[in-house]
Amino acid sequence: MTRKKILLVDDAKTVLMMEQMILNQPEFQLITAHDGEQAVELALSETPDLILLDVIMPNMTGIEVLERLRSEPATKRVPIIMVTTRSESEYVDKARAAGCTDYVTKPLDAADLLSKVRNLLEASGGATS
Amino acid sequence: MSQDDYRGIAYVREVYEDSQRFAMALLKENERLRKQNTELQHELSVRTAVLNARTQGSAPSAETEGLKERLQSVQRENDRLHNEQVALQQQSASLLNLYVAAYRLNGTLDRKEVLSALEEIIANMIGSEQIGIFELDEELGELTLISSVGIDAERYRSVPLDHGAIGHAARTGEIYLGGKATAADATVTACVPMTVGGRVGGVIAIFELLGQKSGLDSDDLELFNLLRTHAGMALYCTRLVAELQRA
Repeated sequence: MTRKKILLVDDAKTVLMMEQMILNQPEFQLITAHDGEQAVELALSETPDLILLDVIMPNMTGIEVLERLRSEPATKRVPIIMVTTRSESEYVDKARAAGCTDYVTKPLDAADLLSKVRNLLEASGGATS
Repeated sequence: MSQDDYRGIAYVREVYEDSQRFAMALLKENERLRKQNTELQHELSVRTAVLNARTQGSAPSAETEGLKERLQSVQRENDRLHNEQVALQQQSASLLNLYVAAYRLNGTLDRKEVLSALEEIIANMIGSEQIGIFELDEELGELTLISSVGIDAERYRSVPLDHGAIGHAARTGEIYLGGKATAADATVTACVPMTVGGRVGGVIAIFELLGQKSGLDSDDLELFNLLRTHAGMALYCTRLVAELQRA
Protein backbone atom coordinates (compact mmCIF):
# COMPACT_ATOMS: atom_id res chain seq x y z
CA MET A 1 0.00 0.00 0.00
CA THR A 2 1.39 3.39 -0.99
CA ARG A 3 0.71 5.95 1.67
CA LYS A 4 -0.72 9.24 0.47
CA LYS A 5 1.09 12.30 1.72
CA ILE A 6 -1.17 15.04 3.08
CA LEU A 7 0.05 18.53 4.00
CA LEU A 8 -1.98 20.18 6.78
CA VAL A 9 -1.65 23.96 7.04
CA ASP A 10 -3.02 26.03 9.91
CA ASP A 11 -1.62 28.62 12.31
CA ALA A 12 -3.88 27.31 15.11
CA LYS A 13 -2.32 24.37 16.99
CA THR A 14 -5.78 23.19 18.06
CA VAL A 15 -6.94 22.84 14.45
CA LEU A 16 -3.76 21.07 13.35
CA MET A 17 -4.17 18.61 16.20
CA MET A 18 -7.83 17.98 15.32
CA GLU A 19 -6.95 17.42 11.66
CA GLN A 20 -4.08 15.10 12.60
CA MET A 21 -6.38 12.99 14.76
CA ILE A 22 -9.18 12.84 12.17
CA LEU A 23 -6.76 11.88 9.39
CA ASN A 24 -4.67 9.53 11.54
CA GLN A 25 -5.26 6.57 9.18
CA PRO A 26 -2.78 3.90 8.05
CA GLU A 27 -3.08 4.98 4.41
CA PHE A 28 -2.05 8.58 5.09
CA GLN A 29 1.28 10.19 5.89
CA LEU A 30 0.74 13.60 7.50
CA ILE A 31 3.04 16.61 7.41
CA THR A 32 2.23 20.00 8.94
CA ALA A 33 2.96 23.66 8.33
CA HIS A 34 2.16 26.51 10.73
CA ASP A 35 2.07 29.39 8.26
CA GLY A 36 1.76 30.21 4.58
CA GLU A 37 5.44 30.52 3.82
CA GLN A 38 6.26 27.15 5.40
CA ALA A 39 3.31 25.69 3.50
CA VAL A 40 4.68 26.81 0.13
CA GLU A 41 8.14 25.56 1.05
CA LEU A 42 6.87 22.12 2.12
CA ALA A 43 4.44 21.81 -0.78
CA LEU A 44 7.27 22.35 -3.25
CA SER A 45 9.85 20.16 -1.50
CA GLU A 46 7.56 17.30 -0.38
CA THR A 47 5.04 17.34 -3.27
CA PRO A 48 2.08 16.09 -1.19
CA ASP A 49 -0.86 14.22 -2.74
CA LEU A 50 -3.35 16.58 -1.09
CA ILE A 51 -3.25 19.83 0.86
CA LEU A 52 -5.62 20.98 3.59
CA LEU A 53 -5.23 24.75 3.74
CA ASP A 54 -6.55 27.29 6.25
CA VAL A 55 -7.79 30.55 4.73
CA ILE A 56 -7.05 33.06 7.48
CA MET A 57 -3.37 33.07 8.46
CA PRO A 58 -0.98 35.87 9.37
CA ASN A 59 1.65 37.12 6.84
CA MET A 60 0.53 34.97 3.93
CA THR A 61 -3.17 34.04 3.65
CA GLY A 62 -4.45 30.71 2.43
CA ILE A 63 -5.69 32.34 -0.79
CA GLU A 64 -2.19 33.72 -1.47
CA VAL A 65 -0.68 30.29 -0.81
CA LEU A 66 -3.23 28.74 -3.15
CA GLU A 67 -2.46 31.23 -5.95
CA ARG A 68 1.27 30.62 -5.53
CA LEU A 69 0.89 26.83 -5.60
CA ARG A 70 -1.33 26.94 -8.67
CA SER A 71 1.38 28.90 -10.49
CA GLU A 72 3.99 26.20 -9.83
CA PRO A 73 4.13 23.18 -12.20
CA ALA A 74 4.78 20.75 -9.30
CA THR A 75 1.65 21.75 -7.37
CA LYS A 76 -0.59 22.98 -10.17
CA ARG A 77 -2.87 19.92 -10.01
CA VAL A 78 -2.55 18.84 -6.38
CA PRO A 79 -6.04 18.69 -4.80
CA ILE A 80 -6.38 21.51 -2.26
CA ILE A 81 -9.18 21.64 0.31
CA MET A 82 -9.63 25.07 1.88
CA VAL A 83 -10.64 25.23 5.54
CA THR A 84 -12.84 28.28 5.95
CA THR A 85 -14.43 29.88 8.97
CA ARG A 86 -17.01 31.64 6.85
CA SER A 87 -19.32 29.66 4.61
CA GLU A 88 -20.61 32.81 2.87
CA SER A 89 -20.43 32.59 -0.89
CA GLU A 90 -17.95 35.46 -1.32
CA TYR A 91 -15.25 33.53 0.59
CA VAL A 92 -16.01 30.29 -1.18
CA ASP A 93 -16.11 32.01 -4.60
CA LYS A 94 -12.77 33.67 -3.90
CA ALA A 95 -11.18 30.32 -3.02
CA ARG A 96 -12.75 28.62 -6.04
CA ALA A 97 -11.53 31.41 -8.35
CA ALA A 98 -8.01 30.96 -6.95
CA GLY A 99 -8.14 27.26 -7.82
CA CYS A 100 -9.18 25.34 -4.72
CA THR A 101 -10.60 21.87 -5.33
CA ASP A 102 -13.07 21.78 -2.45
CA TYR A 103 -13.69 23.41 0.92
CA VAL A 104 -14.79 22.54 4.46
CA THR A 105 -16.11 24.92 7.10
CA LYS A 106 -15.31 25.18 10.78
CA PRO A 107 -16.27 23.67 13.18
CA LEU A 108 -14.81 20.67 11.36
CA ASP A 109 -17.06 17.68 10.75
CA ALA A 110 -14.75 14.66 11.11
CA ALA A 111 -16.76 12.30 8.89
CA ASP A 112 -17.22 14.95 6.19
CA LEU A 113 -13.52 15.85 6.14
CA LEU A 114 -12.35 12.22 5.98
CA SER A 115 -14.80 11.44 3.20
CA LYS A 116 -13.74 14.49 1.13
CA VAL A 117 -10.07 13.66 1.55
CA ARG A 118 -10.58 10.02 0.52
CA ASN A 119 -12.75 10.91 -2.47
CA LEU A 120 -10.29 13.50 -3.77
CA LEU A 121 -7.31 11.18 -3.35
CA GLU A 122 -9.13 8.38 -5.15
CA ALA A 123 -10.17 10.70 -7.96
CA SER A 124 -6.66 12.06 -8.36
CA GLY A 125 -4.64 8.89 -8.22
CA GLY A 126 -6.36 5.60 -7.47
CA ALA A 127 -7.58 3.92 -4.30
CA THR A 128 -6.15 4.92 -0.97
CA SER A 129 -6.70 1.72 0.91
CA MET B 1 11.16 28.34 48.97
CA SER B 2 8.71 27.79 51.80
CA GLN B 3 6.77 24.62 52.61
CA ASP B 4 3.71 26.26 51.07
CA ASP B 5 5.61 26.84 47.84
CA TYR B 6 6.63 23.17 47.66
CA ARG B 7 3.04 22.18 48.36
CA GLY B 8 1.95 24.52 45.55
CA ILE B 9 4.34 22.94 43.06
CA ALA B 10 3.30 19.43 44.09
CA TYR B 11 -0.35 20.41 43.71
CA VAL B 12 0.24 21.86 40.25
CA ARG B 13 2.11 18.71 39.21
CA GLU B 14 -0.65 16.50 40.61
CA VAL B 15 -3.36 18.45 38.77
CA TYR B 16 -1.31 18.41 35.59
CA GLU B 17 -0.78 14.65 35.80
CA ASP B 18 -4.47 14.06 36.58
CA SER B 19 -5.41 16.06 33.53
CA GLN B 20 -2.98 14.14 31.34
CA ARG B 21 -4.45 10.86 32.61
CA PHE B 22 -7.95 12.11 31.83
CA ALA B 23 -6.84 13.09 28.33
CA MET B 24 -5.28 9.66 27.75
CA ALA B 25 -8.48 7.94 28.93
CA LEU B 26 -10.45 10.01 26.41
CA LEU B 27 -8.04 9.03 23.65
CA LYS B 28 -8.38 5.33 24.47
CA GLU B 29 -12.17 5.60 24.39
CA ASN B 30 -11.91 7.39 21.06
CA GLU B 31 -9.76 4.57 19.65
CA ARG B 32 -12.20 1.94 20.92
CA LEU B 33 -15.12 3.70 19.23
CA ARG B 34 -13.17 4.06 16.00
CA LYS B 35 -12.42 0.30 15.95
CA GLN B 36 -16.06 -0.54 16.67
CA ASN B 37 -17.05 1.79 13.85
CA THR B 38 -14.73 0.04 11.38
CA GLU B 39 -16.09 -3.37 12.39
CA LEU B 40 -19.66 -2.21 11.83
CA GLN B 41 -18.79 -0.83 8.42
CA HIS B 42 -17.13 -4.12 7.46
CA GLU B 43 -20.13 -6.14 8.62
CA LEU B 44 -22.43 -3.93 6.57
CA SER B 45 -20.45 -4.34 3.36
CA VAL B 46 -20.09 -8.15 3.79
CA ARG B 47 -23.80 -8.60 4.35
CA THR B 48 -24.67 -6.49 1.33
CA ALA B 49 -22.24 -8.40 -0.90
CA VAL B 50 -23.60 -11.79 0.24
CA LEU B 51 -27.18 -10.74 -0.40
CA ASN B 52 -26.40 -9.32 -3.80
CA ALA B 53 -24.68 -12.56 -4.80
CA ARG B 54 -27.60 -14.67 -3.58
CA THR B 55 -30.30 -12.72 -5.41
CA GLN B 56 -28.52 -12.72 -8.79
CA GLY B 57 -29.86 -15.06 -11.50
CA SER B 58 -33.55 -15.48 -10.65
CA ALA B 59 -34.10 -18.40 -8.31
CA PRO B 60 -37.31 -20.50 -8.10
CA SER B 61 -40.14 -18.41 -6.67
CA ALA B 62 -40.41 -20.10 -3.25
CA GLU B 63 -36.72 -19.63 -2.71
CA THR B 64 -36.95 -16.07 -4.06
CA GLU B 65 -39.70 -15.29 -1.57
CA GLY B 66 -37.60 -16.67 1.22
CA LEU B 67 -34.65 -14.66 0.11
CA LYS B 68 -36.79 -11.53 -0.15
CA GLU B 69 -37.90 -11.95 3.43
CA ARG B 70 -34.36 -12.57 4.48
CA LEU B 71 -33.24 -9.51 2.50
CA GLN B 72 -35.84 -7.34 4.21
CA SER B 73 -34.78 -8.63 7.56
CA VAL B 74 -31.11 -7.99 6.82
CA GLN B 75 -31.97 -4.54 5.45
CA ARG B 76 -33.71 -3.70 8.72
CA GLU B 77 -30.65 -4.92 10.57
CA ASN B 78 -28.44 -2.89 8.22
CA ASP B 79 -30.51 0.23 8.94
CA ARG B 80 -30.10 -0.39 12.64
CA LEU B 81 -26.35 -0.86 12.26
CA HIS B 82 -26.14 2.24 10.08
CA ASN B 83 -27.90 4.33 12.72
CA GLU B 84 -25.61 2.87 15.34
CA GLN B 85 -22.60 3.69 13.19
CA VAL B 86 -23.74 7.31 12.73
CA ALA B 87 -24.24 7.61 16.48
CA LEU B 88 -20.77 6.14 17.09
CA GLN B 89 -19.21 8.53 14.60
CA GLN B 90 -20.84 11.45 16.40
CA GLN B 91 -19.69 10.14 19.76
CA SER B 92 -16.20 9.59 18.42
CA ALA B 93 -16.05 13.13 16.98
CA SER B 94 -17.25 14.52 20.30
CA LEU B 95 -14.61 12.55 22.20
CA LEU B 96 -11.96 13.73 19.78
CA ASN B 97 -12.94 17.34 20.51
CA LEU B 98 -12.88 16.72 24.26
CA TYR B 99 -9.48 15.06 24.04
CA VAL B 100 -7.94 17.84 21.95
CA ALA B 101 -9.44 20.51 24.21
CA ALA B 102 -8.16 18.82 27.39
CA TYR B 103 -4.75 18.24 25.83
CA ARG B 104 -4.40 21.82 24.63
CA LEU B 105 -5.50 23.34 27.95
CA ASN B 106 -3.30 21.12 30.07
CA GLY B 107 -0.33 20.93 27.77
CA THR B 108 1.20 24.18 28.96
CA LEU B 109 1.75 26.29 32.07
CA ASP B 110 2.10 29.48 30.03
CA ARG B 111 -0.82 31.85 30.58
CA LYS B 112 -0.81 33.33 27.05
CA GLU B 113 -0.74 29.86 25.54
CA VAL B 114 -3.70 28.73 27.70
CA LEU B 115 -5.75 31.79 26.69
CA SER B 116 -4.84 31.29 23.04
CA ALA B 117 -5.79 27.58 23.26
CA LEU B 118 -9.11 28.54 24.87
CA GLU B 119 -9.93 30.96 22.04
CA GLU B 120 -8.96 28.39 19.42
CA ILE B 121 -11.16 25.77 21.10
CA ILE B 122 -14.20 28.07 21.12
CA ALA B 123 -13.60 29.23 17.54
CA ASN B 124 -12.96 25.81 16.05
CA MET B 125 -15.10 23.48 18.13
CA ILE B 126 -18.04 25.63 19.21
CA GLY B 127 -17.98 27.91 16.16
CA SER B 128 -17.77 31.49 17.42
CA GLU B 129 -15.30 34.27 16.76
CA GLN B 130 -16.77 36.59 19.39
CA ILE B 131 -15.35 35.58 22.73
CA GLY B 132 -14.65 37.25 26.08
CA ILE B 133 -12.63 35.60 28.83
CA PHE B 134 -13.10 37.11 32.27
CA GLU B 135 -11.35 36.61 35.59
CA LEU B 136 -13.03 37.25 38.92
CA ASP B 137 -11.62 40.07 41.02
CA GLU B 138 -12.91 39.09 44.45
CA GLU B 139 -11.83 42.34 46.10
CA LEU B 140 -13.69 44.52 43.62
CA GLY B 141 -16.54 42.03 43.24
CA GLU B 142 -16.43 42.21 39.45
CA LEU B 143 -15.20 40.33 36.42
CA THR B 144 -12.21 41.68 34.49
CA LEU B 145 -11.77 40.98 30.79
CA ILE B 146 -8.39 39.26 30.34
CA SER B 147 -8.66 38.24 26.71
CA SER B 148 -11.11 38.76 23.88
CA VAL B 149 -11.75 38.18 20.19
CA GLY B 150 -14.20 40.04 17.96
CA ILE B 151 -15.98 42.05 20.68
CA ASP B 152 -15.79 45.64 21.92
CA ALA B 153 -13.14 45.07 24.62
CA GLU B 154 -13.68 48.51 26.16
CA ARG B 155 -17.38 47.84 26.64
CA TYR B 156 -16.68 44.60 28.49
CA ARG B 157 -13.51 45.74 30.30
CA SER B 158 -15.18 45.01 33.65
CA VAL B 159 -18.53 43.41 34.34
CA PRO B 160 -20.23 43.69 37.77
CA LEU B 161 -21.39 40.39 39.25
CA ASP B 162 -25.01 41.57 39.26
CA HIS B 163 -24.89 42.39 35.56
CA GLY B 164 -26.55 40.20 32.91
CA ALA B 165 -25.77 36.66 31.88
CA ILE B 166 -22.02 36.96 32.43
CA GLY B 167 -22.47 38.10 36.03
CA HIS B 168 -25.16 35.47 36.55
CA ALA B 169 -22.81 32.67 35.48
CA ALA B 170 -20.15 33.93 37.90
CA ARG B 171 -22.62 34.30 40.79
CA THR B 172 -24.32 30.94 40.40
CA GLY B 173 -21.53 28.82 38.91
CA GLU B 174 -24.04 27.54 36.35
CA ILE B 175 -23.58 27.42 32.60
CA TYR B 176 -25.84 30.01 30.97
CA LEU B 177 -27.39 29.14 27.61
CA GLY B 178 -29.19 31.84 25.66
CA GLY B 179 -30.76 31.71 22.21
CA LYS B 180 -28.70 32.29 19.10
CA ALA B 181 -27.34 35.83 19.53
CA THR B 182 -27.38 38.30 16.66
CA ALA B 183 -24.98 41.16 16.03
CA ALA B 184 -27.83 43.62 16.66
CA ASP B 185 -28.70 42.66 20.22
CA ALA B 186 -25.12 41.68 21.13
CA THR B 187 -26.41 39.28 23.74
CA VAL B 188 -24.40 36.25 24.71
CA THR B 189 -25.08 32.79 23.33
CA ALA B 190 -23.48 31.06 26.30
CA CYS B 191 -21.54 31.80 29.47
CA VAL B 192 -19.35 29.13 31.02
CA PRO B 193 -18.12 29.70 34.57
CA MET B 194 -14.54 28.52 35.13
CA THR B 195 -14.24 26.78 38.48
CA VAL B 196 -11.44 25.55 40.70
CA GLY B 197 -12.44 23.28 43.54
CA GLY B 198 -16.07 24.33 43.11
CA ARG B 199 -15.30 28.06 43.35
CA VAL B 200 -15.83 30.32 40.35
CA GLY B 201 -12.63 32.03 39.21
CA GLY B 202 -13.85 33.47 35.94
CA VAL B 203 -16.28 33.24 33.03
CA ILE B 204 -16.01 32.49 29.32
CA ALA B 205 -18.63 34.47 27.38
CA ILE B 206 -19.50 33.33 23.87
CA PHE B 207 -21.36 35.87 21.78
CA GLU B 208 -22.50 35.43 18.17
CA LEU B 209 -22.08 32.01 16.56
CA LEU B 210 -20.71 31.59 13.04
CA GLY B 211 -23.29 31.73 10.25
CA GLN B 212 -23.12 28.02 9.45
CA LYS B 213 -23.77 27.05 13.07
CA SER B 214 -27.51 26.91 13.71
CA GLY B 215 -27.28 26.60 17.49
CA LEU B 216 -25.69 24.75 20.35
CA ASP B 217 -26.05 20.98 20.61
CA SER B 218 -25.35 18.28 23.20
CA ASP B 219 -21.70 18.00 22.08
CA ASP B 220 -21.22 21.70 22.79
CA LEU B 221 -22.62 21.17 26.28
CA GLU B 222 -20.15 18.34 26.86
CA LEU B 223 -17.36 20.68 25.85
CA PHE B 224 -18.70 23.45 28.11
CA ASN B 225 -18.65 21.02 31.03
CA LEU B 226 -15.02 20.18 30.28
CA LEU B 227 -14.10 23.86 29.94
CA ARG B 228 -15.83 24.68 33.22
CA THR B 229 -13.26 22.69 35.19
CA HIS B 230 -10.24 22.36 32.90
CA ALA B 231 -10.03 25.97 31.71
CA GLY B 232 -10.39 27.25 35.26
CA MET B 233 -7.74 24.86 36.53
CA ALA B 234 -5.37 25.57 33.63
CA LEU B 235 -5.54 29.33 34.26
CA TYR B 236 -5.21 28.81 38.00
CA CYS B 237 -2.08 26.70 37.49
CA THR B 238 -0.48 29.35 35.26
CA ARG B 239 -1.12 31.93 38.01
CA LEU B 240 0.40 29.67 40.66
CA VAL B 241 3.47 29.02 38.56
CA ALA B 242 3.90 32.74 37.85
CA GLU B 243 3.62 33.52 41.58
CA LEU B 244 6.14 30.80 42.45
CA GLN B 245 8.56 32.10 39.82
CA ARG B 246 8.25 35.62 41.19
CA ALA B 247 8.85 34.42 44.78
